Amino acid sequence: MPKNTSPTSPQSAEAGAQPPQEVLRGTLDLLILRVLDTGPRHGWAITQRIQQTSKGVLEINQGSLYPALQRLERRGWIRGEWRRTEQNRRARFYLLTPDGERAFGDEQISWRRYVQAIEAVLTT
Amino acid sequence: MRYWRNLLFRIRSVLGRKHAERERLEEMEFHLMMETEKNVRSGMEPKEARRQARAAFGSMVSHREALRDGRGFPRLGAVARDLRLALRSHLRSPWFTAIIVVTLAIGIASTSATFSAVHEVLIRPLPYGDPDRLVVVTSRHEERGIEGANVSHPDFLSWRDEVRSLDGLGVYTGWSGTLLGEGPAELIWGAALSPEVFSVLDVQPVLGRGFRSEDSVDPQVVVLGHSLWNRRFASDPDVVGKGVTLDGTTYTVVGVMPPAFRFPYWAEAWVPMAIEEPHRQREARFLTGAIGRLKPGMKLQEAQADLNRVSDRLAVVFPDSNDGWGAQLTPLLQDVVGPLGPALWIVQSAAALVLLVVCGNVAGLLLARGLRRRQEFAVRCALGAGRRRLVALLVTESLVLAGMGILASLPLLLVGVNWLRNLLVDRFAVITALEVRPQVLIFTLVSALVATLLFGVLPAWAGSRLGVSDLGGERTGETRSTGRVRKAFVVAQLALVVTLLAGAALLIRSIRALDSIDLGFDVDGEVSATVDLPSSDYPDADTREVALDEMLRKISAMPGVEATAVAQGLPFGGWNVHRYYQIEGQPTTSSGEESVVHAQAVGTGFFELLDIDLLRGRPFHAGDRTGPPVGIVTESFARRHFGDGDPLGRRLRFGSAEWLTIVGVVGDFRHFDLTSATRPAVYVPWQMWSPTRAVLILRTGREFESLSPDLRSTLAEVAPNVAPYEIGPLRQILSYQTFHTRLVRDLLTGFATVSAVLALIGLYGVISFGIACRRRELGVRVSLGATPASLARDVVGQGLRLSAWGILAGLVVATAVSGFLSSLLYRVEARDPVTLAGIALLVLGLSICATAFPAWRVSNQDPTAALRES
Repeated sequence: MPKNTSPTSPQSAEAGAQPPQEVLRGTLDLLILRVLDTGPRHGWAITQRIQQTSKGVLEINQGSLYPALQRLERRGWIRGEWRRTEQNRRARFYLLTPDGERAFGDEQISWRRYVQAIEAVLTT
Repeated sequence: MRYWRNLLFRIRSVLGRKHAERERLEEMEFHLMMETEKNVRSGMEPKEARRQARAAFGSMVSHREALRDGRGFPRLGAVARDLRLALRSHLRSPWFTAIIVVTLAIGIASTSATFSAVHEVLIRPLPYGDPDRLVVVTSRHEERGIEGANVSHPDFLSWRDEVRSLDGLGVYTGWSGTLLGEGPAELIWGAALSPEVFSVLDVQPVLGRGFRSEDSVDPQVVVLGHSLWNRRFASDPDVVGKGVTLDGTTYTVVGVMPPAFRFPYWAEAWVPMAIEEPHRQREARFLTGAIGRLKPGMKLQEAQADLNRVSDRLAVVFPDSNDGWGAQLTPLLQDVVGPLGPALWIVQSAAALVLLVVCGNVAGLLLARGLRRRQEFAVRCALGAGRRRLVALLVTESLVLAGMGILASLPLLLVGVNWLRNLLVDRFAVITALEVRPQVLIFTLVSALVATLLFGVLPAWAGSRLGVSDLGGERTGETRSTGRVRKAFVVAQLALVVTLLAGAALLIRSIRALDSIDLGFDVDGEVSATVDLPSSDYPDADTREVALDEMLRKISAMPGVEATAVAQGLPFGGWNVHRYYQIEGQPTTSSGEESVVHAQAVGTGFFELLDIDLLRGRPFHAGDRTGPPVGIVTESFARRHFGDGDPLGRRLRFGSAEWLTIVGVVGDFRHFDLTSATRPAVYVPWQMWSPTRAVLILRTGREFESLSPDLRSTLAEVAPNVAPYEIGPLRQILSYQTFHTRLVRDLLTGFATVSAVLALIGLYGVISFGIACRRRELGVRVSLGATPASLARDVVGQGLRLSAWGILAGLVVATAVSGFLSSLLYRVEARDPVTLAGIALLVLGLSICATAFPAWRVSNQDPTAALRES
């Protein structure tokens, strides 16, 4: 399995401004927001959830997951919290903040529009 | 909003960095564990499960790095990294670094040391309330060319009451008294003040009170200066109300002023001013100085116009005494600083020029090294560093150099400040201490930063223009842009050097001219000491005469003393008394300079001791003590009144005193200041006036340092209650006359020399570096038949072109700015063509020397060696 299949390499978290990666990074953010919209989860659970719901098509590299979580937290869209898992283990759970819920709505709309646009281009 | 949240997040994560790091680690460990368990559930061996999980997770280290960049301030981290890198690269070439640091230290220390004096004298506020509003009022008479004269008491009263632009006006006059009590007798310099002065200066006493108008009626009260209170009263908190003996009279202490307060000049004790009869005359413009405070927001010109209005009215009402007289306002700072101000600004500017030359040198060195490091830069570039990143690295390196330069400059700064302190402190009333104050250190920092901009940023920009071809590392030649920048720096340096040298040369010539002035008297070996004989101990002329005779007799008996004499004032000693006089049989001039003559009483032996030429008649002798009244006049006085006729036997008198018969004519000698023409003078025998203040003069072959304690103890033996002061060689009194010019000359010469050495090193560097870059080209040329001599000519020609441009630019700059020196120059024009041409030739000659060595090396090297190398 290739290691760096992820859309965001660690370096790009620092460098920032290349447009094609921005779009891709946005996708990961959107997926995370979507997963957290269904309830608080820890990092590993987020990857599992995305893998399951995408029927294994989307695989999240941890190298991009945690920077993405940090980024979202910094933006105030999600909040990290230490909680106990069902097996009574300490884990860091992430919750959607009210700001995050609003952002999720906006991101969803813009993603739909983006997909429709691509679709329109491909089908005509 | 988002920005702030982001910032907060980063700051929090920096503050709890250890904690956050631990949490991240825990979070990842948890992730790994979950993944491992999942693998185990799917049937893997635990060990394999763990390995797979790790592999899927990727490099833990790089993840953590990525997370770390998201927290905290990655840019700052980059700066810290650059700093470390810079320090390391400097330490790799210690000699190169040391040269730069020392050069920078010289530049920074000279500007900062001079700034310490500039700050102390010109920037630090005077120790009075709102000192910018304080003005000195003097009398002036434009027609007669009189400026800066004292004011008469009635004029003062009129101005005080009629002027609308001032918040108060007071008068003061010098005063001194011999303090007796515990410890040796000490002469205290003070001032007699009108009641307004303390409130005009807006300074409150720390103990007791200032003066009230009632004090003029009962003037036996004194306010003490803080230093005097410390020194003589052990800072006694209950001193107010106690009695002090000054000149044998008991004064009651009514107040103590705060530490920094001194006014005017050195005064450290104040008594109320007693207005005596002669002060009540409007024409009596002597004794008192006046100080006023401008109303808030009032401009100097407006206040001047206001005073002119009142003075014009006075001139109409009192035409006899006030016709033509006006008042002149001068800011207090300007008045107390005097010519020291412009002198210090000149020195400060010169120091700034030295710093510029230093910057030029350092920039040249850095550019040269930048070229050597081209390969390193190219590699950095290839690895993704942008030009901005390279510039940032180079600028960081320069900042590190500047930092080291500042550290290295501190010892030099202390040495410089020490030197200036010895030179300036207590020689001028305005400068009582010279320390490295925080303001000086701030100045040091700022000047180092500005220097860094000059020597670091510009070369960094020029040097970072790189192409891929630089990767090869074979090219060591200069690019067009760096070569141009380096050459421009050398030209600018030489221009500055020419400017500094021209200034120094003009001053050196001025001092030469000043030293060769014929003073008309002898200065070598003369020592003087002044004594005041208080009326309490010496009530009349007889007692004073007995005491003085005794003093002179004892001094003559001291080993090594050849002759003694007494006078009211020494040449350049500040004695400046003019009297109205009349020549028998000639009409008197009622006003103007012709109506007064410089006059003083001198003892027998005065003219002989100072070796003043006796042109006609005889000097004073012991018989004049009791004989008929006589006088001696100077040559110019004799010519003014008697032309070619014989002055001997003619008579003159001062005011309505008795007639004096002229018995001798002496040559003119300089008395007031070195550069203005001698003024006519009349001398009378000491006993005729028997003044209470006497300057004792002696001629000796002994060193002053060994003589001075003997002199003090001898005088104390005769008169224990008299405190001698102004003890010093005549040569020293004379040197005050040229102090400013000498100060600026010394500093400018020093600065010019240092910068000339630096600039020549810079020129040498450019030339030899240029040769190093062109070695292969030169080698090729030699193998194609060029003679070594022609190559050397080529190199020298290149150097001379640079220095010619530099000299030309320097001459232009020097011509433009040398006018600022005018006030210090004597018998040489600021744009003196001979001086400028001489300096131009000197710099040209030095430039030839600086280029000759690399040229000589070129003509002697084996040309093919360079070709074989590659």
